[in-house]
Amino acid sequence: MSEHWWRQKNQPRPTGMLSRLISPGDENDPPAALLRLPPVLAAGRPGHYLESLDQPAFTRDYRSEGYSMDTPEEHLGYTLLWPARSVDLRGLFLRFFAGVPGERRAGVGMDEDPDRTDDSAQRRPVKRDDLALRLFARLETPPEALLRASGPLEWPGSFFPYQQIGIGALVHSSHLLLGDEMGLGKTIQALAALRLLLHVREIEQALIVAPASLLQQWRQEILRWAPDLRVIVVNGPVDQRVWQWQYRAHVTLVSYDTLRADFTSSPSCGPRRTRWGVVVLDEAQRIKNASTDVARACKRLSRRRSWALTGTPLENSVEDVVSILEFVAGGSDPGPAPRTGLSLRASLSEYQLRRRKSGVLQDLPPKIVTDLTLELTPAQRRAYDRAENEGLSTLLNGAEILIENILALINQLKQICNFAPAGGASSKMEDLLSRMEELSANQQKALVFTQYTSDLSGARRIARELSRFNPLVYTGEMSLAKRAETVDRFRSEDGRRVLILSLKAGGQGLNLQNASYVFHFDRGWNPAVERQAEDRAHRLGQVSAVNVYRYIMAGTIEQRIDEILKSKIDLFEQMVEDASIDPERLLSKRDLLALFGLG
Amino acid sequence: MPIPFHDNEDIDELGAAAFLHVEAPSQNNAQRYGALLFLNARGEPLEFAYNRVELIGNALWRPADRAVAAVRRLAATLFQAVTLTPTLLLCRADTVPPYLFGPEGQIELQFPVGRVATAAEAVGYSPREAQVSLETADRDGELIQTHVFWTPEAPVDRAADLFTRISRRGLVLEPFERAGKGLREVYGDPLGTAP
Repeated sequence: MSEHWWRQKNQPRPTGMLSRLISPGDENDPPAALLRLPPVLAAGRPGHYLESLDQPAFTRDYRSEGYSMDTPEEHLGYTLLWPARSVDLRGLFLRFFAGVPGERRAGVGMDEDPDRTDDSAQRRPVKRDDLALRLFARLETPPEALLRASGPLEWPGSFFPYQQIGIGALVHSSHLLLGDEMGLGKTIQALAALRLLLHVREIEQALIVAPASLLQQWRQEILRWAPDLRVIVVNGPVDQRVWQWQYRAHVTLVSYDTLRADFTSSPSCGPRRTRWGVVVLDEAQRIKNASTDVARACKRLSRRRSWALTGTPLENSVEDVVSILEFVAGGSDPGPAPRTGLSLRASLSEYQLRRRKSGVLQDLPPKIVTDLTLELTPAQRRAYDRAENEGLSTLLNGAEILIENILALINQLKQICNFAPAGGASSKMEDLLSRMEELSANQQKALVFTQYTSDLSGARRIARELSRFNPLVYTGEMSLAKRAETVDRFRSEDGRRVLILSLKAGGQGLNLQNASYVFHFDRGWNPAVERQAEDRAHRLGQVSAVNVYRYIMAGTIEQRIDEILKSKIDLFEQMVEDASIDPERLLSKRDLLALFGLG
Repeated sequence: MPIPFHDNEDIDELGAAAFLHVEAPSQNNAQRYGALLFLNARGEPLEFAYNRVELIGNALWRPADRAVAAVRRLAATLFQAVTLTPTLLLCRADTVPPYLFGPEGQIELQFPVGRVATAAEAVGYSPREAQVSLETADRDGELIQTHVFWTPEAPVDRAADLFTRISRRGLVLEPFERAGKGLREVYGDPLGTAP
């Protein structure tokens, strides 16, 4: 109320008549009799004062202690001072962040749920007609402004409309499986939603669990998209991890393996000592097997919100999805338990938000997939036939046909399809070399995925053969730092024309849009993993059409595997995209035997 | 204790920008509604003061002077009511006359006052005001040309930093809409539904 920063100069006034100031919040204007009283007598009447610019008699303010939520009936003052941002205003933001498709709990706020507790503060009941609270909400930065690149949060880029919908769905959902197709920016959507919730104090701390190889990428994305957040990566020796878990950061990043190691039966162990506002599982298919320790640990984390991110919620069987949904539905305010069997689709539609590139990104360049069916070289054919005959003979002459033996034979045959054991002849390599010549001449970059890493038939062998294109190799045998360095070099060094990646280590999470050619040197068992690998290049930021080449050797196990892969794609399409079936687990022993015409 | 954001200290250091918003329900309406909204450099509200006045009914006053007097009274009462001290003040050039604030004006402030107008608006300004043009986001997030008429002079030092920050973050025009929404929340019908 002091005038130290403003001063009104003497003004000529018309004699006997001044403007009449009216108290806000009153149904009626101050009584005429009151207006005639000297200002000092008018003081003490809440909300009323007399007009006197030299000596106004404000009677009610909330300035000394901020606004008290406990006295909602006293909000007739003229000025509303925001409480410290630590005071819990949760619900106000959500209530006015309305109308976002995909929201599940719109309107959940302080009115509807007065007894909910926060990880930081106790919420207080309010009345909907409370003017001050309506003002608190109304005067917050509008959500649409918060999401603009030119808005108060200064995002480093713009969000696509479908991403804004995804962010809205996450903001509103305690339980969400964000199952967008790879390359649509699930990480960014989750980060943006996290940042919004942290800024409005809806949450205090978030835990992000991701594959170890992606932790640095998450950290970099946070630095870019949410530089104001405090982040800690939990890794290293046990004694370091103890204090890392205790560090109060907005976002704690941890790998699945570290989480599994640090999640003990003690309630005071690192991951359990905090009640997380949100737990985000990136590449959530990592918990597809409900019986694993890591799946159990994730589901037992104390949390208010559970988000799972994966473009491939179903990799092999419907049980994969069930386990992920069990996590998503859990938390302090659990959702309906996921159903199984024919009802699984209903559960998916309840918890999953999934968009496909074709539906939301008309501007994304196309992905053109080409199967390259080649003949084995004579040396490869001889080696292949010999290995197959010997292997089958061994299998059939054994007391029992073991799956392990079948898989070992398949692996042997697949590696021969890559390179002949003697001499190293390779139809695939001949083809790849000729294509790389052309790509290199056109300043293009390529990714080559293989299941194997060995010197004989895997990534290192391929790198040796492609040495004139300055290849880089990325495998799970490398340290995380080395892997990150490799990706940086491939992105930044023009002369690096090809990156050879093991499918397992390099197929997830990496952003490699500077390459627009992808080669599958050999085929894995899982089409979802293959698609993920292709989408390292075919994702937001890609400006060219992405050409994917899949090598298949005619008359070999690879051709038979290809048929299985196609059937698995059908399963994914039906189950995850738009339908419900109850298929049996694929690739049973019978399936494997059928590959050799047995069983 | 909440976990502090990395930029908390910067934000606190810059202080608050005050937005003086004045509305008339209709041309012949005898009332003026005013709000003073304080935002930090991130656009978070810190304080909101509001009031309304009736125009002086004396026939000796010219209509334009009555309106100006009402704005002056609104501003004075709002300044009186608030607890925070702003780093700078912004108001719309179409509702606040050029000679209300500043050394020569009726109310003297100890920090820069900027009257804001989009390039499409026709507003008067005083030669004593320093005009600055910039691009800032409108309600739809589109960048538009905007003029700010500063008195006594364009901001320097901390006030300049604050203004740079809020203009970069689309907070030059948008807060007036927010203040208008706040007034509607308080007074309801007389102001209609849209700012």
